[in-house]
Amino acid sequence: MIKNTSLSVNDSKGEGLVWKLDLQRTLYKHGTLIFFVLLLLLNAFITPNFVSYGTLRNLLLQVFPIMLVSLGMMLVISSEGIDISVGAIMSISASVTVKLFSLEFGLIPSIMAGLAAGCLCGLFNGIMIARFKIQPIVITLILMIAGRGLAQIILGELSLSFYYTSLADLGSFKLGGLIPVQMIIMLAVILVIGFFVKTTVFARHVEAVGDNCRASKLSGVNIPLIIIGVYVLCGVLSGLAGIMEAARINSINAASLGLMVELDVIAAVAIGGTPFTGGKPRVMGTVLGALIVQLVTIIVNMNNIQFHYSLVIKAIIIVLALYLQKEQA
Amino acid sequence: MKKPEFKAISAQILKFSQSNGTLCALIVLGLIASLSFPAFFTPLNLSNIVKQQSMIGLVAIGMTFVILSGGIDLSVGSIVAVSAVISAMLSGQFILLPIVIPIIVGVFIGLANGLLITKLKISPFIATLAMMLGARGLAFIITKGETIRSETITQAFIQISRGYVWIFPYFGIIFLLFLIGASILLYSTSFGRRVYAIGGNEEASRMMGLNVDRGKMIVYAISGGLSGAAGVLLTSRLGSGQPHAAGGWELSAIAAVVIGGTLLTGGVGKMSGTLWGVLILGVISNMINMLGTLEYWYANFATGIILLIVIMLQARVSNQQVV
Repeated sequence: MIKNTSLSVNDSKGEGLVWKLDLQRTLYKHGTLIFFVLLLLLNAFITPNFVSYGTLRNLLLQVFPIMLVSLGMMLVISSEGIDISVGAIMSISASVTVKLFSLEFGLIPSIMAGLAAGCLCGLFNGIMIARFKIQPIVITLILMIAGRGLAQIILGELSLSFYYTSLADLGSFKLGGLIPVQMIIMLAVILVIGFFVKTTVFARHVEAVGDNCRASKLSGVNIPLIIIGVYVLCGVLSGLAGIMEAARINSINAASLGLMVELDVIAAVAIGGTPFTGGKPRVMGTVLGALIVQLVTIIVNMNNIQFHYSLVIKAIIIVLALYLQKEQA
Repeated sequence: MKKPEFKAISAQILKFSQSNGTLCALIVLGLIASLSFPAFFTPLNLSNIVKQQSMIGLVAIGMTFVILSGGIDLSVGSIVAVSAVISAMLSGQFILLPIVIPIIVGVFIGLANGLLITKLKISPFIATLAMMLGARGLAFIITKGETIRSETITQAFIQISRGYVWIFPYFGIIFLLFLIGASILLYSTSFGRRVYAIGGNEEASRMMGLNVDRGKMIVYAISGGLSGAAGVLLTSRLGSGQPHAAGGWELSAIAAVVIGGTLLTGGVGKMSGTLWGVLILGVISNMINMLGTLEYWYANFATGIILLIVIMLQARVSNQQVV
């Protein structure tokens, strides 16, 4: 398409250039996908037992919290913000749910309350950023520090188990005895967010705010509403991730649930190609980014390499992804 | 006649407390602590607070430089771990080795941060986040994931953490010396002014012909080096090198700097504020320890709330400045 419209140079040198540009564009545009496929192919050869249903199931099950939070974080980053309190929000929401559940409030009300707690955390972040003009990194840092303490205060103890209850059943529920509930929720969230980003005015406004805050203000975008909305969405998604994660492992440790998840999530968004200076949110990129991050963890485990190497590998991938982003810009 | 005078005095007090808010907060907190806990204002307890906080204090000094220059350094905790581990490995050697080499390693990691930020143009937050992962991984790789027991640790090296000059622990003196050095560097050298200029307006400093990139490199190298020094102190105190040590120190250091009144937008702040911020954090966790009935996580919660109050006040001040 580009060949036909942009440049119509006749000599061979020009054509070579166009072809090169085309290749470069393809590489940039689908870089994440290519990287993902390469990673899969490479491991199909070097990692024993990699090509199996078990690996696929593990990948899709374990990527669940990272995926959900990444999609929320993607919108936040697209609005030129950052939210490093997501791990703490996961812990708070899960604590609220588990605590209420253990007090016999019933499954659905407990989960609703947990999601509401996530929503409130996001609201707190959003209002502080939009109304009081506090930098996103500062206010979410505060929630990151205080939130985990708050989660432990809510829970009243460090950890709580709930084996053989309806909440635990929910965590291991499989549709038709085959498809885990996490995969269904994940797919639904991806579709909804994808649809949301593609079609709604709100998502356009998020991008506009991230691209140029002043210009979008002058053109009448309700900036506080957009910013608060983005953080609330991120909070709710983090809350859902936290609740389901606690349900899956049948217990909660408020100090460790979702610990350091913000790193994986920011890595996923960075790999996915959403610009950290604000701008276009890339849903598919973020989905692949989350899969890549989790894949690195799994591969390191499966090859019996010490866990610590995965930290180094992730660090290198983040730097590489951002460097390529910069090149592209 | 009386009324205006009183007004003038109260205005003066108000002005002092506004410009030295953190010190006032520390004094109030100290008073509350001494009144509620008889054991608080004793030499032993105070020197314990100083010992605990001087390690975070070193990190916070470096963080002050970084934040003043408009950046942030999330990798400090991991750098502390790397240097602590290296220090533990060398602890049987001649006393200079376990002190100097970890600091040099810290400086190099800091320089790597600086390179990522200035040459690859990755934002400080992300670059140091990557380094936080990378350096932590490095610490684990060096030790193969285990704690390094320094069985051959020299007495001289242990003495750093146990020694006193009269009632002042060496740790506190080391911290104070670094603080004085950092203040001189910040207030009376061209480098210090460059840091403020870069943080105030990077584009303008570049146009004025300041070497912004080199300034930033040095700032991150300082942060890395001071984190390395903190790692040395940590090893001297623990007598072992733990790869998972100092997790979350970056948060404490940033909190201390912010409580100290340094704006995270860069360009505005004082080194003395960081000292008060570090001590406030120490007094809070000490008070919560003394309560005994409260679990440690209340300390996090309290720190968060105090941070929130400071930030809200800061936001008011800086918004006023803008208007």
